[in-house]
Amino acid sequence: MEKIGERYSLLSYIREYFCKILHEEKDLSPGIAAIKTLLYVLENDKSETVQELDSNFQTTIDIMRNTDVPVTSVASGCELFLRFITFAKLDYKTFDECKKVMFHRGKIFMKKLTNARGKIAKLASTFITDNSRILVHSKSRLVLKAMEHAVSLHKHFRVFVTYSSLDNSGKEMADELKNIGVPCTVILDSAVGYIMEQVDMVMVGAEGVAESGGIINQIGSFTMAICAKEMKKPFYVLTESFKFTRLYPLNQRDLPNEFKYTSGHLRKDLSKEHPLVDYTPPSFITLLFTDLGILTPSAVSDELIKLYL
Amino acid sequence: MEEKSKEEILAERKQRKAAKQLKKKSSNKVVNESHVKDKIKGNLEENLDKMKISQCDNDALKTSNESMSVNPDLMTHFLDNDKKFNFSSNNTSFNNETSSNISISNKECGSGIGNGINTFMESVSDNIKTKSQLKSERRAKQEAQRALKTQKKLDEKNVEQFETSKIKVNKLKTKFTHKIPKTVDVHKVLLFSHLYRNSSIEENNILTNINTEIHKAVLKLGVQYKNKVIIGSNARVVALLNTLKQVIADYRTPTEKDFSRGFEKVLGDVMTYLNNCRPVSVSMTNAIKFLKWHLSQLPNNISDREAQIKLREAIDDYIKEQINMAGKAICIMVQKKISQDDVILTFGYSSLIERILIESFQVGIKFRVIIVDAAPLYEGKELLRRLVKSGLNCVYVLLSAVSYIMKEADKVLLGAHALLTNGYVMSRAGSSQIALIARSYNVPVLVCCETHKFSERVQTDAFVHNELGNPEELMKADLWKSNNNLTPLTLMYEVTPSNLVTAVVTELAILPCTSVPVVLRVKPTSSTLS
Repeated sequence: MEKIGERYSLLSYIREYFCKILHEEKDLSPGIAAIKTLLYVLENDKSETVQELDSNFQTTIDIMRNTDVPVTSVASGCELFLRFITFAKLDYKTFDECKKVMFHRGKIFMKKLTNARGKIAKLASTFITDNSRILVHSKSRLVLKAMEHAVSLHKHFRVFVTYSSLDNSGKEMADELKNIGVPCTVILDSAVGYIMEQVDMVMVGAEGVAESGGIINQIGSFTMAICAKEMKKPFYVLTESFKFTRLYPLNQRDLPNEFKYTSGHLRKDLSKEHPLVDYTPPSFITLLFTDLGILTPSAVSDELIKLYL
Repeated sequence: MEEKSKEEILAERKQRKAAKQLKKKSSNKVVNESHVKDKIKGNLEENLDKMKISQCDNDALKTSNESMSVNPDLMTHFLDNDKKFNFSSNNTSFNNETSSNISISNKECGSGIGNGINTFMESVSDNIKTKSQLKSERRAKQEAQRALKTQKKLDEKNVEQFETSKIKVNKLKTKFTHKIPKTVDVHKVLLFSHLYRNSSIEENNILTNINTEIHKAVLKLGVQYKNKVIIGSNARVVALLNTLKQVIADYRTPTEKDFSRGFEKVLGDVMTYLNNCRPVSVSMTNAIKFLKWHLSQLPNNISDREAQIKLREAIDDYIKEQINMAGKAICIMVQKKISQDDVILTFGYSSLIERILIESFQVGIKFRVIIVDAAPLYEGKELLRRLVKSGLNCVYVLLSAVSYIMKEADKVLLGAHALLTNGYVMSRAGSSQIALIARSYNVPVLVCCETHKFSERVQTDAFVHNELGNPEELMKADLWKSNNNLTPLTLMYEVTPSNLVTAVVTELAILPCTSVPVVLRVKPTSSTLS
C-alpha cells in the first residue's frame, strides 16, 4: 500500500513539476521540458523492474500530453528520449545498474539537446547576408537565436514578423528582436502575400518535423510556404532533431487532432474550434537547419529510419 | 620439221617465261569482253587452219597479256575442249563487282593459255616425234595436268566467290530499294526493339528443347507464368517459392558434389527456363537472391536431408515474414490513413490493396472504393468481384474516365511491381497516369509495397527495361498480321516519378519515395545478401 501511495505522489507531482519548468524557463521548448521531467522521474523513481519503470514513463508522458501546451514536440521528444536511454535495457544484469546507465544516457541526451541550439544558430546565420530582408512567422526561439548570432557577426538585415493572431506571439518576437538591435516590422498575418515580394527569404521554427520532411508549425506557416514557393523565395526551417517525429501526414485533415488542438479544446465540439497548427508538406520547404546539419526535407526520413529501425 | 620442232621448244620456253611473268604480275585491266573473245577466237581459228604455230603462240600470248580479265570459266572451257573451241558468251559474264575475284585467277590465266596451246600443239605435231620432242611433250603434259588441277580448284573457288558477291550485290540493291533493312520485323516498334523476344522460335524451343532435368513442377509453373494464369508480383514469388520447395524435396545431390553447388546449378537452370517463359519479376529475383544466400551458408558436408529441411524452413520464413507479415503490417498502417467516409481510388488489381481494403472494411471503417481499370488485362474486374463479394461499396470505371472521377476521391492507393532506388515506382502500365491526375487534383497518392519488392536498379523511364505483353490481347491477330502499317504494342509496366507519389507504405514505416536507398541500406537481409 505504501509503495502504491509513493508512486502516486510522484506522479501527481509530475504535472506540477512540468508546468513549473515551463513557467520558470520561458526560453525552453516544451519538448525539452518534457525530457527534463522524464529525467526527474528516472532519478526519483523507486520501481524495481524495467516494466514498472516503463509504465511510469508512460503515465508521465500521458500527464504531460494532457496539459495545455502544444503537444507535438512533447510527443516526439519523449519518444526519442525513451528510445535513446532504453537502448541499454537488456545489456545489464541488475536493474540498479541498468537504471544508472539509463540516467547517465539521459544526461548525455540532455546535454546534446542544449548544445543543439548554438549549432543550429551558427549554421543558419551563414545564410543571413548583409542587407537581406527576412520574413519570420510568430515566435521561434531558434530563429531568434540565429539572428542574435548573425548580429554578433555584425550583419545588418531587416526582419518582418507576422503578428500571429493566435497568441500574438509575433509582438513578443518583435520586441526581442528590437532588444538585440535588429530593425523589425510587425505585419498582419493577412499581409504575407503583400510582403513576400520584398523579402529575400522566409525563416520559421517548427513544433515538429514529420517523417515526410514536412513540418508541423503554428498555423499560418503553410500559407507562408505556399506564398514563398509561388514567389520563388527560399523557405528555411530551423529545428532541433528531437522534434523529428514518426508521423506521416498526407494532408491537413490527416494530422492527428491532439496535435491540432490543445487537450482543453479536444473535449469541445471541434468543428467550432480553430486549429493551432498546420502541416507544411516537404515540397514547400527548401532546407532544414538541424543539429544534425543542414538537411533537405527528404533527408529527414533517412535520419528517422536510422534512429528507429 | 626438226627445225620447226626446235622452234617449238623455244616457243614453249618463251611461253613458260611469259607465263611466270604473268603470274608475278597482278595488274588487272578490265578489257571489253567481246574484244577479248574475238581475239582468242580468231587466234584459235588460225590454229585450226594450221597457220604458223609460233606466230599463233605469240599471238595467243599477246592476247593473254592483253586480256587480263578473261573469265577463268572460259579458259577451262577452252582447255577442256581445245579442239572444239566453243565459246559461248554466256560463260563469260563480267561483272564489276567480281573483278577482284577474277584478277586473282588472272595470274593463272596466262599459264593456262600457254598450257592450253601446248596441248593443242601436241595434237598438231602428232606424227613428228623426236626424243627431245617426246621429253618436252611429257613435260608439257605434266605441266598441263598440274595447271588443270590448280585451275579447277581456283575455278570452284571463283564460282563460290562470284556467287557470294552476287548475293552481296543483291543485298545492296535491296538495301537501296527498301528503307527498312529487315523486312521481317514489320510488326515491331523500333523504340522497343530490344524488348522483343523472337517468340515463334522460342516458343518451340521452350517446349521441345526442354531440358529433361528440369522438375515437372517448374515446367508447369513456367506455362502458368506464360499464360498469365499466375499474375501479380506477390503471387508469382509465392508460386515460385512453393515450387522450389518441391524441387528441393526431390533433389538428390549427385556424387562428388556439394549440395549447395549442385543445387545452385539446378536453380540456375530453373530460372533461365522461367525467364524464357516470362521475364522474372523483381520480387522473384530478390527471393532467388535470398535463397542463394542461404545455399551459400550451408556447410559443405551437410547431408541432403538436413539441407532440404533448412532450405524449406528458410523459404517458409521468407513467405511468412516478407510477404504475409509485411502485408499485415502494411494493412495496419494504411488503416490508420483511411478515415471514415473516405473515397479510395485504386487501379487494376493488387493482392495487397485487396487485402488492405477488405481488412479495413472488416475493422469497421466506412468507405467507398473507386476501381479504375484499363485494357488489355482488365485486372480490376477481379478486384471488383472480390470486393463486392466482401460487401464493399464499389464504383468501376475505365482509365479514360479517371479525370472525371478523381474529384470524388480522397486518397489513391496503388500497388507496385517494384520500387527503384531513385524512388521511382514501377507498376502496371497506367499507374503513372493515375498518379499524375491525382497530383493535379491534389489527391494524396499512397503506394503500398513490401520491402521484398525493392530493387537496386535505377530507371527513369519505361523504355530501357520493360516487358511486352501479348499483342493479341490488344487486337486480334488477323487484324494486324497482314497489315504492315499496323503494329500493336502492349507494355506491361510503367515507371511513376517519385514527385507524383505522396508516400510509400512499407512494413517498416510510411516513407517518402526518396528513402528507398536508405531502406535498402538498413534492411538487414539485403545488406547481407548483396
